[in-house]
Amino acid sequence: MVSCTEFIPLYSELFKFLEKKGGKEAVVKYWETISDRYVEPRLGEEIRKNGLKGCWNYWYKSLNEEACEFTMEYDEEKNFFLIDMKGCPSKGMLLKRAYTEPYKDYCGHCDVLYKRCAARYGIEITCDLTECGEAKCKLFGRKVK
Amino acid sequence: MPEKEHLKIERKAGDNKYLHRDFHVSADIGIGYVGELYGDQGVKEYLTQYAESVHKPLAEEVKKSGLGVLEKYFHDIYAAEECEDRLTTRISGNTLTVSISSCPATEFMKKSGHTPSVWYKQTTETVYAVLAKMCGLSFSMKFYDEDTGAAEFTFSK
Repeated sequence: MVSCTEFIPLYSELFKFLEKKGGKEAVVKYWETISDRYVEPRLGEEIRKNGLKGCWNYWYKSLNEEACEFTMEYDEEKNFFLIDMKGCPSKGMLLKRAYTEPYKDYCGHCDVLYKRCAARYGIEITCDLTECGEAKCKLFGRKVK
Repeated sequence: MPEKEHLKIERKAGDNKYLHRDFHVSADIGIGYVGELYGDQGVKEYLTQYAESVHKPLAEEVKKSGLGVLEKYFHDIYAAEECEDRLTTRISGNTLTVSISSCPATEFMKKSGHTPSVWYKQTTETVYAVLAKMCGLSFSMKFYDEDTGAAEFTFSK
C-alpha cells in the first residue's frame, strides 16, 4: 500500500513518468482524463446539484482533509467563489523533499482538472499560480451562464 | 425573497489532521491509467521510479540502523491511516515479517464505489521489492488477497 499520506510524491512521479514517455502533451492528457474520471463525479456532481455553491461544498471537504492553510469564500449575491491558498500541503511537501525534484509544472494540474469540469456547468474557474513556488495560489470561480 | 448566502472560512495548517482518503482512489486511477497505456511493465517502471525517488532517505536509514527502522515505517503509515490494529510485525533473526489483515486503501476504495485496478497490488509487490533492494535486503511476498488487500511479506538480510 502507498498510504494516502504518501500520495503527493506518487502523483508528482506519475507526471514525470508520463512526460518521459510522451512529453508534456501526455501529462495534460492525463490531467484531462483524471478530470473526467475523478473530478467530474465529485465536483461536477456538486455543481450540477448546487451551482456555484457546489464549489464550496467540494473544497470544504477536501481542503480540510488535506490540512491546508487557506481562506475560502462564497458570495451568492456577488457571484464569486474564492480559495486563497496560503499554504498548500501538497506543494509544501514536495518542496521540503530536497532529495527529489517535484514535477516542474506540478501545480498546473489544478488549473486543468477543475476548469475543465466546472466549465461544463457554466462555471468559469481561473487559477493564479504566480506564487506556487511558495505553495500559495488563488482559485476564483464565477457563474457565467 | 430568501437571503443570499455569504460563507467564509479561514483555516490554519494545524487545524486539521492530514488524512484525505480520497487520495487512495486518485492513486489507483493513476496506476490504472499507466497500466492501460503501458501494461504491466509500465506500472512496474512507474512504481520503481516512485520508490527509488521517494524512499531514498528511508533506505539509507535502514542500511545504517537495521530492520527496526523499516518496522517503524510500517507502523507509522498504518497509524497515519488510523488502522494500526490491522498490522502485525515481527523481527526474528535477520527477517522482518509484515502481516496485514486487510488493507485500508482497498477497503476505502470499495466503500466509495471504486474497484481497485488489477495493478493495485503492485503498490505492495513492486514498491516493497524496490525498497528492499535499495536497503540491501531480499523481499518475499508470501500472499496477497486482491479482494481485501490482506497480505504477508518479509524483508531479509
